[in-house]
Amino acid sequence: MNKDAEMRSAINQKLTETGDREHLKELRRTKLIECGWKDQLKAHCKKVIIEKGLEHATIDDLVAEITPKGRALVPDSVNKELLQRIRTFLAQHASI
Amino acid sequence: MEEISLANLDTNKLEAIAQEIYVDLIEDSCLGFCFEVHRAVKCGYFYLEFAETGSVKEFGIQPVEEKGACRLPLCTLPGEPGNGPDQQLQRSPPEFQ
Repeated sequence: MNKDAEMRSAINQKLTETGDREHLKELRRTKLIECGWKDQLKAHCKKVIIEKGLEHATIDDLVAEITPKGRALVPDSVNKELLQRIRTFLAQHASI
Repeated sequence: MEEISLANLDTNKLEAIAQEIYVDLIEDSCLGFCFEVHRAVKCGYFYLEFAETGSVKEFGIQPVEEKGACRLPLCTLPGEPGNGPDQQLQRSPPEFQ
């Protein structure tokens, strides 16, 4: 494993060990609900299911249609807050 | 295992790592949502949980009230309202059973 991959692996392990990954997921979940992301995505979902037909919607269809929309709908404020928390984590764990 | 120091990394590399973690978090949300929707569709409760506005007719499902069936939300068998417990509960449309 090269140094970069080793470092990424160590960071991910540290994120999990410290519990910070769960905190980030919880923060993400709260913020995305508060800002209406989930509601907007539900509305988009409904359109997709009606187009494809309830019985014909496959997981591949849903991933192809919903994921890009989900990424685009994340507000800048949530984006900034999550990134800031991640940068703080990286600064706090300068040695892994 | 040799200790790895992030302090020696340049800002661009650190930022790239932060972005990767962020992207991973968002992808996790989106994929999780897709799986929730897929499960709701296949188990027959999509229109209850995800389509808060509008009617089940939009999904090609005949509303229970129009069939003259039991008013319990999970019952889809025809019959007089209030037949309740003796009737077999059907949660999903027949094609999913």
